[in-house]
Amino acid sequence: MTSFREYLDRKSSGALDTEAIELALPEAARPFQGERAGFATRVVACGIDVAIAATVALGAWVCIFLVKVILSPGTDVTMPSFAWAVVIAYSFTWMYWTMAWATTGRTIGNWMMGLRIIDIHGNPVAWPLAALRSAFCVGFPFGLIWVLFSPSNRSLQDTVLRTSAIYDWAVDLTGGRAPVPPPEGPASVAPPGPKGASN
Amino acid sequence: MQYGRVSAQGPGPTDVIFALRVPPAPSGVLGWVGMGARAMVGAGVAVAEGVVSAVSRVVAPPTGALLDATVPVVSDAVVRRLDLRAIVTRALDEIDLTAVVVDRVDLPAVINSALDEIDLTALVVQRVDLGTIVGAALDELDLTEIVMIRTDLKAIVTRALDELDLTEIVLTRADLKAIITRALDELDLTDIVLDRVDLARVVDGALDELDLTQLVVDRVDIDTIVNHVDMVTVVDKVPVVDIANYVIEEIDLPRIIRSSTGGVAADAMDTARLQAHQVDQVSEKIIDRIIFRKKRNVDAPGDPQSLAALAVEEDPKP
Repeated sequence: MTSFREYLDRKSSGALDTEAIELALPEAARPFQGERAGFATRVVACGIDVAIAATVALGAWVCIFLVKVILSPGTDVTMPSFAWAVVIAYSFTWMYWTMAWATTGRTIGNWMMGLRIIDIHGNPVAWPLAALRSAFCVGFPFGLIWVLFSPSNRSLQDTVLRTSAIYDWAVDLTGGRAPVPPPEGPASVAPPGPKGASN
Repeated sequence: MQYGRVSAQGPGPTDVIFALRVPPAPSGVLGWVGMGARAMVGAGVAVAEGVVSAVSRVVAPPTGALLDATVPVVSDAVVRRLDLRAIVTRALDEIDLTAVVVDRVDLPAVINSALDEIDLTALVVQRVDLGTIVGAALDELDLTEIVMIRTDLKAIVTRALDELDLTEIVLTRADLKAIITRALDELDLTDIVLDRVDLARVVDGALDELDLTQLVVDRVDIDTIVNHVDMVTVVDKVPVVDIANYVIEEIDLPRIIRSSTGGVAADAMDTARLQAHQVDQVSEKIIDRIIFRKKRNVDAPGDPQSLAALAVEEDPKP
């Protein structure tokens, strides 16, 4: 049992913020946090994102039709071509992925499957890189298949752009604060699991 | 001393032997005067003897009876007519009795004989006003100085302390209450203690000897004290929020809530993630077997957000 004094010490050191992360991170998931994600997880995440994009595109397509009906009452309104829906879907997906990766590093699909996109240094990807990767993914989604064969679980886009999709289940509940390094001594002890310090 | 005899004729004792002290040859005028006085006394005595002798011759043979009848009368008359006091006074004036006594008396023998006969202690106690004498002596003497100079105080005190049971004496003979009260009235104990006592050492020693906790438990009515405490003030000083958070953490309230309400969706998502990860591993193994790869390098740069904070918590202190 933690004494009240120990609790206050932990609180003053900021260690209590980890409590929420612990709650959000099951014990079984800790060992592989930070590893590059495998094919199935990424496909599911991508599928969720595509489903979202398709839903949005379909909704937009329907909205365009409704707007035309409203603006031209009594006239014969034809449905917009399906190509519009595809264009909208592609455009939306590109923007959506770009914004998501450049800001939080996660799309909704990534968040649901516990993934995060990072650059070669382990940082969130910058806007240009995010836009480029998003365009690459939208334009050539089959590059994801390369994850199966890559020795480091990289898709074709990752291989070209030096990015990675890693398992990172918990969102940053510390408010984006960088981990506080220990005052002195050797480098930080690796977190539990096979994932060690940055390589 | 010169001895003489006066003889009378007739029956019965008729000889009178007398002794006359012959002083040594006088020196100075006073000596001659004294000698003259003594000669006068001697002459008086000789005249008296001569009268007795003449009367004895005239009236003999019944001289004896006659003398018996007349001598006392004559003696009395002579004595009455002599100013014996003046004679003795004069003699005493002339004689240095002290010197005579010193010269002629065996003083040690006399004194020893007198002391043997007299109980001096009783005499002194009975006849002497000791209080007055001692008081006067004490007024005249500086006893302190005398004692300091003439006595070996250390030896005396040591001997006295060896001989005496001071504790018993004090307990039985001293009015301790009065002494202590007087001493306490005279002394400023607080100043003395502050100046002369190593309070820290004393307190440490006392605390080492005492079981304060047990003492308080036995002797202090804690309930009464607590009843006098302003609990509102105490509660105001208590970190209630921190305590509440501490309790929440200790009973793991978030996990309880999570498992009872919103945790269903989260658990479902976690399950889906874990299953997807398992599929990842299976698919990777299959592919790796097909292409004869031993192991993949799946480590990525940087730290995952999910473990960064945990790494801080688990960092050992240097």
